[in-house]
Amino acid sequence: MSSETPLDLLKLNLDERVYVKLRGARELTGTLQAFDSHCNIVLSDATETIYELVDGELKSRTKDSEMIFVRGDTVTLVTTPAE
Amino acid sequence: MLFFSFFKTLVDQEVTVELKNDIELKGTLKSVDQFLNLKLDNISCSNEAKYPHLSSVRNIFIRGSTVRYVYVDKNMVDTNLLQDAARREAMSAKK
Amino acid sequence: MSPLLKDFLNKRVVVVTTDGQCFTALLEGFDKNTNLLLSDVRERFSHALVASSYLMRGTQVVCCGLLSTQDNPGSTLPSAPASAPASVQAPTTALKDTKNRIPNEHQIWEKVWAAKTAK
Repeated sequence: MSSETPLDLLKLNLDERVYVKLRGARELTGTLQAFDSHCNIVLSDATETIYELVDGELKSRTKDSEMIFVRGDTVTLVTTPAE
Repeated sequence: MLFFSFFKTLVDQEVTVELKNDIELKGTLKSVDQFLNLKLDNISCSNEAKYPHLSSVRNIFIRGSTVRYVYVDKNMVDTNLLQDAARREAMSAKK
Repeated sequence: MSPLLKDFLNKRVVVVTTDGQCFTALLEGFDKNTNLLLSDVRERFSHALVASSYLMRGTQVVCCGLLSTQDNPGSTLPSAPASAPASVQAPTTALKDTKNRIPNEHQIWEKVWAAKTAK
């Protein structure tokens, strides 16, 4: 038990909703289907939110996808969604 | 190796790849290697008007490192199998 | 190792680079790091000659597509402009690089956080 790495803990979130923060002011929420040590991730029923600043005002747009593979090098944070 | 196997199960299926330069390519996945480089056949660029660079290209090699997302249809994936594989991968990575 | 590019050998390809450039060239060789040996490298739209021979580092490569308008392998200079149908016009927007740098990304997250906690 003591040898658990941070990524091992992600195992407990398989088949549950997770929140993933990405580089480039993007975030995703979805059901965790798979991950590996590079933080490559597969989410199902995912919603992507892209934020941008237009004249100092926060704008966001969302995009839904039923199954999405996310390359790990853009992932900065994986956690459970705040409800 | 998990995602290498994952993509191998998707060969001959239609996928949409979003690159880090915002180009979106839809096509039939033809092959994949251990770097997750992808080869797509019969591609169409969903934002071709903006990026005509790949018009008259049908068959393309994509370097894995430049992929942002790959969109897949849900019915192409056995989620139970995938989750089990992820658990096993997490176990074997610990060694 | 990576035989994915084998089918493109000695054919005319379109190469997009990580800094947002786009070329057409003849693919002479490659290795498993996607380093590409290219010849007769031209700008994608103006067809201006960039280099007669070019070793492109794999780290610069975004994608490499087979130009399907001409399938004959050896064709180089004369067919290059001819292979571009009239429909391929120079783009109005330049290709982005793959770095995805967003100016003031931290300020965006700050506002996102503020908006979320306000709820």
